Amino acid sequence: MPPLKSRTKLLMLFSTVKNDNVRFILGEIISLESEFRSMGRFPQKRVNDTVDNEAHKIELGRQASK
Amino acid sequence: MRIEKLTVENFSSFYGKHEFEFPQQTGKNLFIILGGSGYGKTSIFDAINWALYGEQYESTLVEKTIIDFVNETAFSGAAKNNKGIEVSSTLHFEHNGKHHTISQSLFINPSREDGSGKQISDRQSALYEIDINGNHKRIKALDSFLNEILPTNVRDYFLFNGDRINQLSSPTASNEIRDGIYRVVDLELLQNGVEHLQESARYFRRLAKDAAKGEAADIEEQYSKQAEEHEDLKDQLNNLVAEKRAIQDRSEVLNDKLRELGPAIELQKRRDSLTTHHKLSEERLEEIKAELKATSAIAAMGVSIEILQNLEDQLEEMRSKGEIPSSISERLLEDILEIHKCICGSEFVHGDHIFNELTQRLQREKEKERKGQDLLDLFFEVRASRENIQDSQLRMRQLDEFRAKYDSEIVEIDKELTEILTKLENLPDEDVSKLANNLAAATSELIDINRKINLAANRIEEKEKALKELEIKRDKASQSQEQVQRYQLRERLAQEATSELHRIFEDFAEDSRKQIEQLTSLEFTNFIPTANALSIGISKEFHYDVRDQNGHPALQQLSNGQKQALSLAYITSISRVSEKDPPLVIDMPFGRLDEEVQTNIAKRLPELASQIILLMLPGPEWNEETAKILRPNAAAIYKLDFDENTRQTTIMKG
Repeated sequence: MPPLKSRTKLLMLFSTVKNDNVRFILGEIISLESEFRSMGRFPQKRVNDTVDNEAHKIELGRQASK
Repeated sequence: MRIEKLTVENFSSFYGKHEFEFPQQTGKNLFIILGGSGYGKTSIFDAINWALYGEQYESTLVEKTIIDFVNETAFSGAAKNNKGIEVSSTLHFEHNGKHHTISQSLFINPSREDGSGKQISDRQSALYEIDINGNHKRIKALDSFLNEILPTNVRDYFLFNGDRINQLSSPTASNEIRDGIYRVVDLELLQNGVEHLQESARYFRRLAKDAAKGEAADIEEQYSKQAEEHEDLKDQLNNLVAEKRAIQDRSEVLNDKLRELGPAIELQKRRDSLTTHHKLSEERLEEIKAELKATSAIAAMGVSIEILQNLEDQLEEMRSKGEIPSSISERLLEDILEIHKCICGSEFVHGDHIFNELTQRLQREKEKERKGQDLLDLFFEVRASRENIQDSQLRMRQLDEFRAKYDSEIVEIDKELTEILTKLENLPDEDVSKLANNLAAATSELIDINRKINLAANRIEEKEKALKELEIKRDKASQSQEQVQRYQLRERLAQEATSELHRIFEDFAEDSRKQIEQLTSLEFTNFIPTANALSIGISKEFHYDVRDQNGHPALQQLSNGQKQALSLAYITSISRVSEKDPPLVIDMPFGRLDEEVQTNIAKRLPELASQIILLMLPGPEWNEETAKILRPNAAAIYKLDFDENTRQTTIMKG
């Protein structure tokens, strides 16, 4: 039996997220989690910043469409 | 990752520098290190772990510290000159085509003037990448690098011992199984992501609440409160589910014990009944023996029966002739003396010669009667004695039969009792009623916890409804408050990301579980081909789920060896689905396995990883059978020799 291609499987699951902004946030979060795995302290601010950036893009989009 | 070399210095029983090389050889992926108990096998296992994980590994040591690994000969030699020594372990390995070394070093100095104590004066951890020219380039982010190739929290699935295999075969291993799946296939990563996104949503919710004014502030306040309660309820639900799993595990252990005790209960019942029966039989036998003793004295007079019979016959004849007793003359004389008139018609008076003559005759008749009466008594006594002797003889025969019956019955009971007691000695000594009570308590806890779970689920549903209603109000109330709207948008985005990541996590977890289940099942059948009628699974609650061909639970039907084979199948499946392809380092892999399972696992071992280092005990583990199977796949075999006098280990290549 072939081994589980975990990254491929994850990418496939991520592609089912319809909201582009949410998908981008998730990509960033997974990257952060991998980088800081097993570390004592996790940079929560970077998660908040990621969410903030994506929200800002939405706001810009809304303004542009007005 | 492939281990190329291990160098230890003054580590445990290895005095000075020692090296184990693990060269790559096509078609041969096993490296076998053989050594008796106390020869240093486990020290090699510790040295590999310590080189990779340093202080993290030290924190997992039980009943010892890293100081205990300092070689005594090296230390005492240096301490005499008031000098210290270096203790180190270095692992050379290849990863993604690049060569590396990772090492841990301790500098140990005497802590007392007499040189008896030890203290760590310095320690170093270092990871280097070695280029084609042999130049060493230091990698500073040691933890990140290790996280990529073999994170510490999955170490147990690649570097383990026989005890670990045994531990994972117990009914309480479900948490371990779940953790293993979560860690090895990166589910932990997704789970942490969910938590951090939730934290972000909380952060923006707080900002929105602080920024809101007027009615919007009230609604934000309510929304925050409801959202927090919603999160608390979810945590509560998760805790309850975890608690439920723990109770289920506990019940499983109790059931397991009770099932094991099933035969013991029956045997104990039979033993008690036989013991009572034995006691009664012995008492009856004693009574019979006492009666026999008493009867035998009478029955022994059987030889006199003929004499007694003759005597009885003679007396009977006399009796029939009226010789005994004969009271007619006596009564007649008494009548004559009463009426004072003789039978001849003569009258007489008291004191005359007729009266005196008759009185004397009466006296003589009375004497005669007494003798007759005595003979009559003797007749009856003789008869009674004869009958008594005959009865006793009959009773003796009956009693002899009874004694034989009880004797053989007691022998049979003794035989069965001995068999039962031997069987009971081999069964666990548990208090059945206590176990049953504990099981009843666990069942009642389970009912209670299910009720709480339903309650929490209902409350979560209500809370979600309330939150939806508040969302609408929230939108309306904050229409003119731009800053609040901005925070609301961020909070919703973080919430949506949380939900999506949670969904992905669940899909991924289920997919991983299925993959590991499939591999575990396949490998178990390889290990135990005779158990191919069993279906092996890992349930959604992360329990081993073993079913027989009728679909009935059958985990308890597995022998201990089979359970351990299942556990090893699971561990090796975990390592294979991880895609990290690290080596397997197994200390005493066959330590607790029976011969048949050993052979089957030995056959499969070379297929389980691209590099396998086995630390084995000659005899119980490395024997004619396993050596025949493993040797053709071995790229190197090392033998450890231990000198009892110097307490040092030397390495020989076999």
